[in-house]
Amino acid sequence: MMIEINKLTKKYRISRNNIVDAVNNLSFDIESGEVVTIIGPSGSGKSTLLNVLGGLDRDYDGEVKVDNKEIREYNSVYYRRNIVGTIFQQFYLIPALSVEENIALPFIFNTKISKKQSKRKVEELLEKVGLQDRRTHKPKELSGGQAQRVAIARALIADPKILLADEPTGNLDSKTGEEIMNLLLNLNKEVGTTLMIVTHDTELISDSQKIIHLKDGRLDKSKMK
Amino acid sequence: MITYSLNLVFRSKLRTFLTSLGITIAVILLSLIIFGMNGFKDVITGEFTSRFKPTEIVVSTTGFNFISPPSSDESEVKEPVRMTTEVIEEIRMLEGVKSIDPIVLVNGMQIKIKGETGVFSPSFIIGTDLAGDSSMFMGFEGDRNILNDGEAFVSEDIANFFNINNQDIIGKTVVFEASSGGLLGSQTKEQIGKSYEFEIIGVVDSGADRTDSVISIKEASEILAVTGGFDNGEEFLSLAGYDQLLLEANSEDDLESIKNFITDNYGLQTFSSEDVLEFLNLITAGITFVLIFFGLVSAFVASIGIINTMVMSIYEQTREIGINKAIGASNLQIMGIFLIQSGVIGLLGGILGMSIVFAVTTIADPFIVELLKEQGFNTEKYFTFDPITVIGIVIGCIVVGILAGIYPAIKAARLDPVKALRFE
Ligand SMILES: Nc1ncnc2c1ncn2[C@@H]1O[C@H](COP(=O)(O)OP(=O)(O)O)[C@@H](O)[C@H]1O
Ligand SMILES: [Mg+2]
Repeated sequence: MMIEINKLTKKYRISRNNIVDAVNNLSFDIESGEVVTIIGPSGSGKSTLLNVLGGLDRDYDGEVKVDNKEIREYNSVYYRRNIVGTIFQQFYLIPALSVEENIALPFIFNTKISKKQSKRKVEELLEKVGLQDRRTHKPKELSGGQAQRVAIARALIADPKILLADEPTGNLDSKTGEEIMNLLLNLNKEVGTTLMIVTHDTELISDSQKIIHLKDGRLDKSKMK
Repeated sequence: MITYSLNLVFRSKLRTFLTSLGITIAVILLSLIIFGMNGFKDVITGEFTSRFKPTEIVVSTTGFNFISPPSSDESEVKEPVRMTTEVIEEIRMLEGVKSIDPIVLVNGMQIKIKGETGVFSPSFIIGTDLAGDSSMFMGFEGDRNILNDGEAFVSEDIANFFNINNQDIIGKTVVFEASSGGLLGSQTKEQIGKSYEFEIIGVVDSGADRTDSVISIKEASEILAVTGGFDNGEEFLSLAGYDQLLLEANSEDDLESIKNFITDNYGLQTFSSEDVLEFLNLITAGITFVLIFFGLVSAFVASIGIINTMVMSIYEQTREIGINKAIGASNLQIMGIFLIQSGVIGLLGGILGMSIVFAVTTIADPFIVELLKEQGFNTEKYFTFDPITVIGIVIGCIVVGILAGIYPAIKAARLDPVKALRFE
């Protein structure tokens, strides 16, 4: 079992006596190499769940195990560097850095990686996402689809076991969205990375995917197959 | 990571520049004081060491005000101190004394040159048997350096005053006569209507000291005898005595005992170049103390600027900090990024400040040297840059930058990645 989520609850205290259960007593498992799609209306807790899985939010109740180890027991920096890669709806590229530099950014912080290794890996990923001829461009010179490809390459640079994508097609037109979705699915096939995609674009969901419906922070049993 | 931090700090070039200006101003302020002080000390020290050998002592009846302020102990009525012929002879016999050269001062005279227009007043005329080319003077021009009866040296200032070349004034006659009261003048019944004439046989450069004319002790004492109503010069010297004494000891080891003996037994004041250097060190230490205070204040002000800028840049870079944390930057690395940024601001300020100081002092140096030369100081360079101080100041700037960056850096490192990513 790659990921085991057991009674995960995340509360946000909005004011003194107004607490929102962003994720409420959620339990499910994900196999290694699986593609999981999370669907749900806005505010249903999808991003909250991904933040927990991405190791960005360690303040939750319940249990989330990755490779049989509770996420909070990992060193958070190690977990973010080596276990997961995350891509976001807003791409979150650094405007002042070029395509190459954005992809290599995670390795700037990983002192174990040499410049040479980093270069080789960037080259490999540029090819995978098809951006060899855009390497020196700045993010603002890229289309949305290209920017998301850069973000995917950056998320994959450390060969993570899990790739988390929070509405990766949300800012893209449907054709580009499809391309990105196909790229992610191909990468999953090619490398075997466990893939979790949050989306509300049901048209982009293929048969191969396990689907998890969320509503108000809980599994929406009515929609489960 | 360093490249990345530099990328961050140079993204807002103008702001980085303006912030580093705070440091620049502190550096300019500090280094001008430091190098100015050093220059001042060097010039004064140079002046003294060129005039006085380390083995020389100046003995005087009056205090050297800047070293020992007049005592205000009124309970004890002090005998007037006199450096009479008798005292001089006793000092000459002291153990360790190599030679002595007494000096008398002739006050209240004005100076004229025969055949020339103009009156030079007030004047400083001294009586001494020192040679014209002795180290008491900075320079000498003339055929003979020892004065005979009826002969005098005048200073370059006098030659300049009367608009005569050094060479041409030699052979002319200098005239001393009682000046009309006022500042440094004195009215004595005996001198009214009298004048004293001497043939000029040499020109001395009196440097930063003021000596307008030099005559022999014998003739100076005769003039002083007239002023004071003494029978003759000898009586004046044996009763009223000399004003100053240049004493040369055999070695520096003898200085202390000679000085102590002279002050204890005769109540005379002494000082040697050692005292001057000690005094200079005291001044410089005092000024250094003030300077450290100024340095701290200006560094503090500059730090506030840096803190302000760095806190502002946290707001600008919040999203980016969130991204970096999400992809695996540690808190220490985030701190590092900010400390490098603030350190670079300090470094830039330091380099800019040092460059400005270097440019300004290089341009100003010849003018200051010129000014000092006009004042009689003999120096070729005022500001000297020692690399250690320069490097020290620049490193200090980096340290100030880093210290100022600590608070913003901690603040940045503590950002919650989820919140930082959502930050608009
Ligand atoms: N930082 C936060 N502070 C307070 N409430 C939050 C915060 N983040 C999310 N929420 C709330 O938690 C719920 C789930 O949000 P989110 O996980 O972003 O939903 P989704 O991604 O499915 O749109 C929403 O009601 C949202 O308002
Ligand atoms: Mg969301």
